[in-house]
Amino acid sequence: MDTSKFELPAIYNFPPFFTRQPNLQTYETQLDHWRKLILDYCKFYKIWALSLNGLPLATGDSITNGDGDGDEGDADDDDADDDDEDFEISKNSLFQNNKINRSLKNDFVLEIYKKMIDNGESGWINDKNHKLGVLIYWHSLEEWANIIMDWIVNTGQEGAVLTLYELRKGELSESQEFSGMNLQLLLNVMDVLSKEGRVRILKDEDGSVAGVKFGG
Amino acid sequence: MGNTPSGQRPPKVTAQDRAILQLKLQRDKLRKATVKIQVIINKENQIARQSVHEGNKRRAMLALKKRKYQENLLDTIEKQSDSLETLISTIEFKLIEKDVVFGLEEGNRVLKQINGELSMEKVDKIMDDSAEGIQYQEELSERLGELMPRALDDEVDEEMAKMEREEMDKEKEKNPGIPEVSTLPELPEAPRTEIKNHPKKGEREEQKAEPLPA
Repeated sequence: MDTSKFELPAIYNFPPFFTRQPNLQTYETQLDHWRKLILDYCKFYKIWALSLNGLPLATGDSITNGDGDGDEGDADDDDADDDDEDFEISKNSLFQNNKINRSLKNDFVLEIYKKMIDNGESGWINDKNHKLGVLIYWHSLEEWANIIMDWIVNTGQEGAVLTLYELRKGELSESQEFSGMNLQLLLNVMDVLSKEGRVRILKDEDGSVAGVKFGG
Repeated sequence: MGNTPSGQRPPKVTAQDRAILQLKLQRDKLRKATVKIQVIINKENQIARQSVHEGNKRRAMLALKKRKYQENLLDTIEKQSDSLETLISTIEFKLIEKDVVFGLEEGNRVLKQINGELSMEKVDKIMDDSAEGIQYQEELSERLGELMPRALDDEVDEEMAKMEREEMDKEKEKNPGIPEVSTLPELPEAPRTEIKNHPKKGEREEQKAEPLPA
């Protein structure tokens, strides 16, 4: 990932950029800059999800597995985890600029995330537990839906049944932009396609999504 | 999932789809297992190397043995994964073949149906029908001819003759000389007859003048 580095905008080294601006107009511009920065940054490094501290999250193989029943447990766990996460902020967080010794406060990060969610540029990893962080849609869900459908059509896979793992890590999809996509993000994309009737979601006995059948 | 706001209908899921999905899920599991084993192999390798470096021969041997075991496992898993993959593609291909056969059947059925509609007797009957129609038409005109016989024909002939006469008269009134002009070679005779029939002075003068330019 370090072969080429993401070029941070000049404003990134401007200390007030890291403090929530009291003036409404300035605040709006500040939000806009952060939004764009996050989208560009995540697109550049192919980051699918960010924690509240701005750390890239793993592709989320386990995140949704406990979606149905483990919610309460997750919430408790997370409070305990928070301390650990604070430890790791400095590792490689976009919200921490060591050069000017500034970092974003969690409250402000949440505001940025909320704004992005309003814009359709992001979504909570778990609606019930915002602390898990957000998915970053550097392509909108609809764009992703089209990208995947195009790939299906171009590779003659209409009517095929594919597992989610196959889509994310399969050999056929390896060179595709969506390869390695966060599981929850992929599920959200599949929801879009399913609502349009372009795919049918197949569920396992335990109710988790096992795969999708693509329409022709 | 039941309601689809936009018009498109979601694809139907068949038992085969579910079977393929199960196979693919198994294959995914195997693939995940290979990833995990690869990690273990790398780790054992690292341990062995480090142990050799530290002079702990027994530990190095153990790590190498473990690595060997994992490598064997990896081999088996890859073979299984391969056979699953083959099975999946065979099933998928068979499904296509099934579709092809179905298509052929369907086409055959339609062809037969069309052929049935185009049976010889039917074609013959249609041809007969049209022949009958033509015959009927002929008979009809014959009858009509009988029903309004000579009388009408005569009337038509008479009217025709009358019209022709009228037309001729009109033309004579307009250019009375024309008939003579058209028979130029016999000019010398023409005046005589004209004079007998129409002894009008004016006309005679004209006729006399006519030959001059010729």
